Amino acid sequence: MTRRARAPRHPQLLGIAGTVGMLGLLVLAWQAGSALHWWGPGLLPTPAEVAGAVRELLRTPDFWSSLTDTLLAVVVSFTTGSVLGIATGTLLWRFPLLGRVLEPYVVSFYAVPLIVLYPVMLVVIGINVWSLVVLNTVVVAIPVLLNTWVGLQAVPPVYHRLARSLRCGAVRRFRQVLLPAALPQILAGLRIGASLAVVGITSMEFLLAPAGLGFQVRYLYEYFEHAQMWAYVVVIFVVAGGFMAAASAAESAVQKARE
Amino acid sequence: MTGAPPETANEIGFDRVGKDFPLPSGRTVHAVEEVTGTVPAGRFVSIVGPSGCGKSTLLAIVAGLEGASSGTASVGGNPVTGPRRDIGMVFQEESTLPWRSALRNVTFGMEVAGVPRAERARRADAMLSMVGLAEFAAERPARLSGGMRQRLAIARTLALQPSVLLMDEPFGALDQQTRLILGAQLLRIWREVQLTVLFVTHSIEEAVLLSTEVWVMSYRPGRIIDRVPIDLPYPRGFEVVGTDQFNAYANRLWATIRRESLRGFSDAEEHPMAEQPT
Repeated sequence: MTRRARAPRHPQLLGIAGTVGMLGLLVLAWQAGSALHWWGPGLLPTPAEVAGAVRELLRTPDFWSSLTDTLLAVVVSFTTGSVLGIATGTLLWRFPLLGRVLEPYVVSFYAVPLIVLYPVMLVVIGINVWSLVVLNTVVVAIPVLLNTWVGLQAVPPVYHRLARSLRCGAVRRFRQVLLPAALPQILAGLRIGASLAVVGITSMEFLLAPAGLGFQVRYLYEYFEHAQMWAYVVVIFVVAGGFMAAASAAESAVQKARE
Repeated sequence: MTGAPPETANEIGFDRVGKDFPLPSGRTVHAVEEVTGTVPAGRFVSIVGPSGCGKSTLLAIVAGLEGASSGTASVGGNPVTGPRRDIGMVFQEESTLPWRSALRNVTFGMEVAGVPRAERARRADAMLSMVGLAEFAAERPARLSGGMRQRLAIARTLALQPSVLLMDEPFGALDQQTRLILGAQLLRIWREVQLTVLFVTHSIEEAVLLSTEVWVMSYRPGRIIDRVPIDLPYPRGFEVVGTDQFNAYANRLWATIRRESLRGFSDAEEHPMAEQPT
């Protein structure tokens, strides 16, 4: 037995400790940079100032309503986008001709900045959070749709023959054979959808909306409230990180239940 | 199935079965032609033949997964028109469901067939024991070896208590030792359950080891060109492999297949587009 062969007893804990430690180092560097005047306080205030601003924020009702707006918009658009994506992906798989006709549109939609449709939304829905939610639903749906579609197409032919030879009904065949077989691919799509949900909502808020965390960043930036602005930026980082961590946890729980 | 006389209840019959595949070029491939014969109840018949000779197609016709272009395949005296629950099929490819435990893989077919819960559990336990996987009931297929997964697929099929068992190169993806070991286990199960088995393989050794009779299929059009009864006593184990009698059977089969394979190769070179869809 060599010393090298001894694995750390808790590799996961070590990983988490490392990740948190990394964050600590980053804050230290931030503090050092501010103290050494690598940048002015107008660009990036010290961590202490930003931390103070965050504590302030937690006491303002304005912050809580912005946070709720954003979270609600993210969660709703992610949910509806996922359902829409899985349903449409299934439809395109089920009707291959439809799939072949629509494929170029779906694929190029990936590259269309849907934000340019905002004026239409303004007319149809009005200046409120639902305009963003509707646009973002489509943003989320596209990767989910593509992954569902590809995942269902990639189900090994033997599963189809198995289902037929067992005389499996269409619903059971889909729910108990094809969907679970395609699930890893669909989950990968949902993960992309989750990140796009956060990016989409916060950036559209920044550019267009009269509310939400993204809007607050732009508003404070225009009024030179740097400490407060950075406090919102930190909050957005935390929200995004938390949302993705939740998505990953859900994904690995499903994967684990499968293996 | 009701109505069939008892002596044909578990029998597989072929009456001038043929299967043609149209090609995009307009040519037609005669994958199977004029296959007539009977697998009597309780027998173990293997079909061997060169690659692409249509043996899997013939099996798919009996399974009801492919329609015959002409003639009829029947099981238990009833013509096969589609998949049936009294016809059990084991595939060559990995067909266990990786998201279900071994136990729940075995119950899957029974769930589809509407077998009551208590009966499902009873049969699944019995089947897992029979294929030697009782202690792995809670494991996912990913934790089992390829041979164990194939045994699991066999257990899933047998749990439905089919009257005939069709096997399409079930051990084809496994190494030679494993396939012979599994073959010997299959023989034990076959004798225990008294099944009628139709078994497709490209391994002559496997066919001789297992079968009561081996059918040799010609290269396209696939016809049965030789039927060799294997008079080796049961219970058989791999100790028969390599004995003079065994080798005599194997050599006879091999001579026929070699002749057909050579014909197949020259045909494939003349008509490279004529590959049979799989």
